Order: sequence, then C-alpha cells, then structure tokens
Amino acid sequence: MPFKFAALLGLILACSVATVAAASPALAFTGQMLLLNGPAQQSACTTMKATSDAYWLETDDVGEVTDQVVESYPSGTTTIAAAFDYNCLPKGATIVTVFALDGEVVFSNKAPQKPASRAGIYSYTLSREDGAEIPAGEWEVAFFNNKTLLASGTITVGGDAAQGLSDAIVVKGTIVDAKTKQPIRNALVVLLNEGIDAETYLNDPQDSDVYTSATTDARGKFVLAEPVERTAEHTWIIAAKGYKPIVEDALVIGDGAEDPLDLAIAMTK
Amino acid sequence: MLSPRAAKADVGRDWFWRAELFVVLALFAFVAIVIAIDIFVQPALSGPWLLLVGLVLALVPGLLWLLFFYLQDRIEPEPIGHVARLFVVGAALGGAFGLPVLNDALRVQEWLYRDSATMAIGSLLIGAIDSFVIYAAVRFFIFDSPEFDERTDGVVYGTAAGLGSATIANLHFILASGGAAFGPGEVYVAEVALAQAAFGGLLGYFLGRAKLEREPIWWLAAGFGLTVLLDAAFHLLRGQIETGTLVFGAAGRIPSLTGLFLAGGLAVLVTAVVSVLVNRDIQRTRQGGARPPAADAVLGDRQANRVVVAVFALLLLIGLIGWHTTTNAMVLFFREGVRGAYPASYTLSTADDALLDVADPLVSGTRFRVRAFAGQDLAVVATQLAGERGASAAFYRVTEQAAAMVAGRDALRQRFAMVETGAFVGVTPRVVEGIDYLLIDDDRVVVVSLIADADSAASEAAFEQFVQSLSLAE
Repeated sequence: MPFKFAALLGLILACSVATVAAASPALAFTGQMLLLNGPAQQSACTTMKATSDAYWLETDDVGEVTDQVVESYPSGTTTIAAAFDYNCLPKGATIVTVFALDGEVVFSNKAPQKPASRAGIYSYTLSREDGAEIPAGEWEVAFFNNKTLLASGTITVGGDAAQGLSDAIVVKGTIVDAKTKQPIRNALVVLLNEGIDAETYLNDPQDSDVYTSATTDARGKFVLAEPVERTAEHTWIIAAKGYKPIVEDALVIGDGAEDPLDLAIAMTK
Repeated sequence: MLSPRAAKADVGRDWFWRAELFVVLALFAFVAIVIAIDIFVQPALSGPWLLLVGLVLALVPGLLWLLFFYLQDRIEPEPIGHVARLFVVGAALGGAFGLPVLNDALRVQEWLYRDSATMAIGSLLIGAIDSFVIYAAVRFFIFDSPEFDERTDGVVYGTAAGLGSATIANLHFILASGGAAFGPGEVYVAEVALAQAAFGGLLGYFLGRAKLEREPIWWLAAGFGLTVLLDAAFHLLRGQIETGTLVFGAAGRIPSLTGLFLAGGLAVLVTAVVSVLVNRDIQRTRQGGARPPAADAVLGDRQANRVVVAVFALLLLIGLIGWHTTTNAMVLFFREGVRGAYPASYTLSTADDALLDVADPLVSGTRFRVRAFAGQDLAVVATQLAGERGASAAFYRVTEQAAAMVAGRDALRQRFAMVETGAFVGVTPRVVEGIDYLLIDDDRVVVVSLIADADSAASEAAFEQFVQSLSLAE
C-alpha cells in the first residue's frame, strides 16, 4: 500500500511515548505513536473511520520508521510499525492500539486525540524495552477508537529464517450460504494433520489429529489459530448444522497464495 | 362407443408438450438474465428490498408456466380456472402439510447429511411427502371433476400442483433466509420448480390413465411409488454433485448450475417420456385397444386411492423408523465402573484422559465427557476444573450451582460459560457454554460434562438424557 499522504505531510500533531501494558512479564514492550495529518476537509468531523486496513511500515537499524510498506519483517528486527489511514478525528476520539503475538495480547496503548477535521495516518511503533529483537512469530495489530474497531492487520516477523522450511501463512475466510450469501454462524473449519484423512478422523475424532481449527462468528468469519504451510497437504473439513459438509483431502495452498490467505467458502443445503 | 368418462380421451394436445419444453427453456433464459444482471450490475440489495426481490423471483417459474398456459388457452380452450386452482391447492397443501412435516416435525435438514444412511432415509421422506402433496391435490380436488376428461389433463393438473408446491417451498426459503442472493437464489428457485413440475407431470400421467382407462388396483400406487423414488433419487444425486465451494481468494459471482441442469434435464426427460406414453395411449384408444373405465369405476378409484394412501403411510413409517433409529439410537458403554448410553450419531474419541469422550464434531460441535478426579470433595474438584479451564480459555465463569441427583447419588450440578482463545483479530470470540455434574464414587469424583455452543438448547436435552442413563458400578 503506498504511503498516500507522504507528499502532504509536514505537520506532526503529536508524538508521545506510550504507556506499557505488557501481558507477558518476560517480554516488556514500549511504543511510540505518530500522527500525520492530510489536507483539511470542508465538513466537520462527526465519526472517525479508517480508510485503509492496518498496514506495516519498514523500520531502519535505529528503529526509525520509513514510508515503505512491508509484507514481513526479517529476523533481528528491533522495531515494528503498524499504521492505518483515517478520515478525521472527532471530538473525544481515543485511539487504542493493541499488539498480539501468536494470538496473545502483549501490548496495548490508549492515546486521546485532539479533534481534527482533516484526514491522516495513525502510526504506532513497537520495540522491546531492552532494545532486543522483536520475537519471531505472527503479529497482529488492532486499532480502536474507544471500543470501536477501526482497522486490523497481521504480519510475520522472522519469516525469512523459516523460508523454505516452514513457509506458513495466516489463513482466514468467510463462510456463507451458497444460495443466499448470508453468513453461516458456528460453522467449523478443521485442518487435519498431514497424513490423516477425513474418514480416519470422522470414525475416531482425536484432538491430536487436528492441526488447527476455527469456528465462524456471526459474520461467518474465521481465522485459523495456527498458520498453515504452503506446501503441506492437509485435509480440510468444513461443517455447519443443516449444510452439506465440505471435505477436501490433501489440499495444498501453494506458493502463489497471498499472506494472509482469504478463503471464500460457500455451503449448500 | 366410449364411455362418457373417456369421451375426449383420444384428443391429442401436441402444443402442451411444446409448451412444457418452452417453459423449461424460458426459465433457463430468465435465470441466465438474472445471473448476467448479478454479474454486470451487481445489485446491492439489502433489507426489505432483498426480501421483496426474492419473493418476486420465487413466483416467476410458476407464473411463467401459468402465463404460457393462459396464452395457449386462447387458442384451444382449457379450464384455466381449474389449472390455477390446482396451483393454489398444491401451494396450500405444501405449505400446510409438506413443509411443516419436513422442516418442523422431522427437521430433515438438520440430520440429512450425517451419513449415507440418513441421506437415503431423508431423501425417501422428502420424496414421499413431496409426491403425496401433488397426489392429494389432484386426486382430491380435480380427479372426480368432469373437466378431468383428457389424457393430458392429469399431466397438466399434476404439473400445476407440483409448481404450486414448489412455489410455496421457494417462498418459505426466501422468507426463512430473509431474502436470497440475486443470481444463486434464482438458480435454486428454478431448480426446485423444474424438479417439482417434472414429478407432478409424471404422477399426473399415472392419475390420467387411472381415470380414463381400466387399470389394475396397483397401477396408481406404482405411479406414486415411482414418483417417490425419482424424487428421492433426484435429492440423492443432487446431494452428490452439488457440493459447496472453497475458493482461495474472492468468490466468483457465477453460481453453481449443476443442480439446475439436473432439474432441467429431468423436466425435459419426463416431458419427453410422458408425451410419448400419452401419444401411444391415444393411438391405442383410436385403434380401440384401450380398456375404457369399468362401470364401477368410482369404486375402483376409491380402492386404488386407498392403496396409494397405504403405500404413502408405509413409506412414511419406514422413513420415521429410519429417522428415529438414526437420531435417537443410543450406544451402550462401560468404562472403569461407569455405565451408560450416548447418542449413536456421536463419535467416540479414544484419546485424552477421559473415561469417555464423545462428540458430534461436524453437526453441533457438542461434546460429552466423563472424567474421574482423585478425592472426595466436590468443591475441590470444582475449583480444579475452574483452574484448568481458566488457564486454557480467555474467560471462564461458573454461572449457577445447585444440588442434583445422578445415578441415585447426590451430585453437584454447575453451569458454566467460557470464551475460547483463538485468533486475536478478525473474528468474534466463540462463547462456549456447558454443564458439569460432579458426584462422589468411592475415592474419586466423577465429572460428567457438556461442552456446547452458547445457543444449542438441543444439545442440552441430549446431555440430560445421557446423564440420566448413567450408573456407577457398586
């Protein structure tokens, strides 16, 4: 994603060191918020909206953020930075930034904002308090305005070390009714371990046979708990009450798939 | 000389067969237009508009057929009023009998896809009830009318009743779903209409011959049985070939057309076969080879009707026994001093530290577990469970605790809720609710647990039945 407002910058409204709320005492993190405003808008701002998904920015050796968007961070990275574009900042806006590593929240920050009727970019950098490397794994970020989710995104840190060995990607998706396109709630997505087929599992369902799984929410959305290797041959089982189960034996994601991989699943009655 | 009942039995109506094929083609053309609009215009319908458009589209197949029939009626007078009445009767019987029995009483859709046995039983029940709706509409609302006097009349009225039944099923589908996607919804509506029209036409042929010729008492029942089997086979085949889709990336807008082609092919095939049979019968009548109805035809009709009703009752009974067997059957178990029975539709997991762990992983996600903890203090074990679940879930809370009796022993019953950990962003966390029964058995505490989705009341009823089945060895 291009850094759309880079040419219009010049005004840094706020720059503050964040409070630390580390969930894991072994890993203490610190963060820094950066707000970049775009051109002034005509109308008054009443509702804050994200105009992009969350994206991640390149950081240099000393932890400074550049305007280059990255798809992953290499091993040894000491600072990661997430950002999103927004329309404006209404009165009372408080941006909450939450970082998670492999599904566990490790850092959050709450930053009240001054009202602004212009669009901009909200960026947040994260680093360890001791300046050490950011732990490798699947990182997720979510930006909220108070309790309303504005934008979220995921990225792999240290993916290069695992390249060729376990090039795993995040898999998410939406399950809908094929005829109505309505989301299906509580549908189950199960990926079995390599070498386990659907018949074996269904005859004797062992938790140890399941590589990863997920259940859809009311919007029919799911995110698999574990990243999936591109070259791995997993059996996929998708089931929902009243629908014909979908079984795909030895399904391979392949090298061409994007990370995160977004699946569109339609089930029939 | 022919009897008055068969006065027009040798009248051919070739236009009718052309009309049938024309309607099939017209329906395919209409579906193609709807899909094209869906792809190129991409109408963003929601709320009442989605529902309204869905309802209108659900009416199209039936109205198209009736409209074409009306236009033909101007060329060759036909009792359009009777045809329309059969359409309405088919819809009324389908709405008042067919849908409530299949959807509410038997809940066929919920267990249809469990395994191949339930698929066969469910398809048989669907076929029997669909066919009986058509049969009842024609047999009890037009069969005895003097207007039922041509060989094609049975096919015409049967098709009208089938389309009426299909239309009410489609309206129910739209209303229950709060609307349907523009393209895929119309494909489904057309598929149901074509299939029901075909079954109606086939059953109507048997009804027509039963009325206008002297047939054995089993003739009508054979036609009914054949229609049931064809309907069931259609559902089985459709279930095999029309599977869901899993696409990496954005879904395409072209819906699956396999079910529609299957239904369209069936409609064309039935029309062709029935037209050949009717024309052959007409030739036979003209050559004096047909057997006109007997003088006591009304009595014969009544007996034939009783046989059909008996066959329907038998099929329904077979289906109900099969349904009861598959949904209510229990499997006995005896593990380390605990005896009981769990639902046969659940699968046994042999892993884990549990005495018994059975789950319904693909339908409800419900799990029953029986575990044993060392000790004799229920409160301590309840705390142990809380610690275990609190560590693995994002949130765990016991919402209710009360004394209970299980297997003749005092027990502690507790209801709990927990939020499962999973993805951090992108999905709403899954809330799981459950029930534990804790009871002392010598030097151990046996814990019987239900783990289910928050809104699965049906699982709770099955679990209570499971708990009642338990006994502990003395």
